[in-house]
Amino acid sequence: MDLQQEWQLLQEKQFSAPVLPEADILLAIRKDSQGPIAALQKALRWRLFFVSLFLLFGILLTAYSWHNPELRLLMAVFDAYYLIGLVLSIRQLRLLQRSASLDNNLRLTLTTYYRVIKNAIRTDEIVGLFMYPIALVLGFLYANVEAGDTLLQVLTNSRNWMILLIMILVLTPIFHIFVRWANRKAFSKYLITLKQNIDLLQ
Amino acid sequence: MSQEQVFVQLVQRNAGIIHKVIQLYVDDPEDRRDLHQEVLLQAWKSYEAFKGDSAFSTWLYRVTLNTVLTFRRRNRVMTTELPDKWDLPTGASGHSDQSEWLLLAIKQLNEIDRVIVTLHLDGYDNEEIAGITGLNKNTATVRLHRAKQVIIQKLKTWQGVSP
Repeated sequence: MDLQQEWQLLQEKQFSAPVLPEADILLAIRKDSQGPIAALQKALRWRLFFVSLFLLFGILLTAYSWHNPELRLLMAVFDAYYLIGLVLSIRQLRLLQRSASLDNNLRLTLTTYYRVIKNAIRTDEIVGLFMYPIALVLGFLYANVEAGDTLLQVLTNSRNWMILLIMILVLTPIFHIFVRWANRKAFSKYLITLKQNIDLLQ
Repeated sequence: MSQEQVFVQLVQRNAGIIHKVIQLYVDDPEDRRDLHQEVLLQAWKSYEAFKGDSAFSTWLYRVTLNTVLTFRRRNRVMTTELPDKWDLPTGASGHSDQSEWLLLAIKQLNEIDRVIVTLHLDGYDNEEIAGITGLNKNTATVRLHRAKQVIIQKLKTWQGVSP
């Protein structure tokens, strides 16, 4: 069998494309991407939204509790933490936008996608491990100090430590497991296929 | 003529490339629709960087392959099992349809060998195949030779069991 000849036959029978209307092309190029990088960007924008929300909340509480030096210190830690989170998230979003080019060679494209997606997932899991529990711990401390205790009193009360410990021990794994489950569901098979194809290109 | 109009015309002239690559890699009709739009979008996004170093068709082939192979598909083409004589495609006359067999044999290759073989059948030389895939030229040549042998072997086997 002449492969080239059969291929030409296939081109005529199966691969001859219907005329692509201009309107369809224009519609497609104005749509949002459905690709994996776009999905990560969307997830990252949600994280950015929550970090901004926590930061805004922190700034408002800092202003509200300005008269109390202990609360001021506590809120300064809170604000600094989420400010760093905001800067890192924006940086990650920019990195994702830059890595989305699809006109390189196949090996470079697959390798870049694999690295970028794996890093984004890992960062997401690490951030999830700290972002929500820290907000809870700081919220707990703030509520107690606001209720009239000093920060030292709150921190030297063993009952408070127990509550904090239980909050951390219960909620941190729950958040972490949830984030991991969501990422695994979304990307695990995809990453395996990418890796297999990268290995085939070595 | 605006950049957008030039792009539309070039894509219309080369629409067969997108259609063909998607048919070779995707079975799910919904995935095909999504991917078709995604390829057009990614091609448009990358078009600003297209300097004309290669033909537009080669560049579009590259973008299409990259988009298809990095897309999260619902179902991948998974025709790895050997068809028996009842599964082999036949033409309208009931005789064996060899071009359909070729398509089936190509779809049974792994995704990277599928890229190499289809680029070769579309007339790209080994150096161009190496440039598009990122393999070195020697590896691309060896891989192409092996993949072609696998296809020929399969076709011979199927010819033996065809009705």
